[in-house]
Amino acid sequence: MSPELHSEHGAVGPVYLSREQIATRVSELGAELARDYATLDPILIAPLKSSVVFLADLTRALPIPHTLDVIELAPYRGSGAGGVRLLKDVDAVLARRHVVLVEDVVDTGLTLNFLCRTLALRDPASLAAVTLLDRPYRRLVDDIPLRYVGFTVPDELFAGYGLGLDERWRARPDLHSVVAVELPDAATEAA
Amino acid sequence: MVGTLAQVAVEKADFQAYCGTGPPRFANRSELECAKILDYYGVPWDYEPRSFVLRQGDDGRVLSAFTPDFYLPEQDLYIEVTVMKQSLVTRKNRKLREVQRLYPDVRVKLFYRRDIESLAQRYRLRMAA
Repeated sequence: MSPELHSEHGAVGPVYLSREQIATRVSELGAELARDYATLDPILIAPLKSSVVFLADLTRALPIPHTLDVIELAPYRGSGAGGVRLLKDVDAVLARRHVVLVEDVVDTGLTLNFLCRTLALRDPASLAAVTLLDRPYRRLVDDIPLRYVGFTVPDELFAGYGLGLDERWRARPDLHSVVAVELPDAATEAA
Repeated sequence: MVGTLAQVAVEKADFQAYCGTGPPRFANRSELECAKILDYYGVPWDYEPRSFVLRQGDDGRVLSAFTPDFYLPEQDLYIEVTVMKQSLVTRKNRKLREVQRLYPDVRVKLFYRRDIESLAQRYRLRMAA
């Protein structure tokens, strides 16, 4: 396999969802959101970075007035100390707004749960979430307002369509399976 | 690999979302890793707060019990982390089924070592969650 298909922690595998399959489903999600939020002027909020491609397509598939914003969380680095930090907060005032969180993947639900708890403190009129991919097999928190799901996928890693591994392959238009390699002992052993 | 130690002792103060009383004493590094991920995301957790009696003798003596590793009070969910290979967890699965039969309102999820490793790897590689 050519070097551009490998990174330190994995390799790009076959296409799992083609750009056409994704586009069709994103259009359907846009229609569902347009029906449910027709007069509500929702604000779509996406956590950086993996969700940006999905956000870009979803906003163009949503034929009702709405606004966009982004948020960025510091990634988990193997230490729970200090908890999640916001690297970038949303710019908009969320009080009385109808908020739709736009996720690329929901897995354990921990990130989405954290975002919901954080944004709920700002008195939004409603809070819901849409995800391109739902991987529910290791869900740890169930009290998440996941109302719209693009695809329920197997318990695997993916890259492309905004999702990256080692910051690579985000720009690939199709969604690919990823063959991950084991991290070395030093990287996985807890402190 | 997230290996097994005799016991992994940590200070209660190391965790902010821990809602137990004494310092948790994890049986292996997989449990510690799970605790750290829960703690990072601020999900309240307790460690081995309850044992479920599965079988008692005529004299009331407990013959068999099951103590899940974690309890998430906000989710009302127990988590059992096992470092056994998936093919060797038949006995543990049997106990889990027994818990479900005797305590139908109790929710327990089983996480294998590879699940925890995969989660830790995913989060550290900034993969989506």
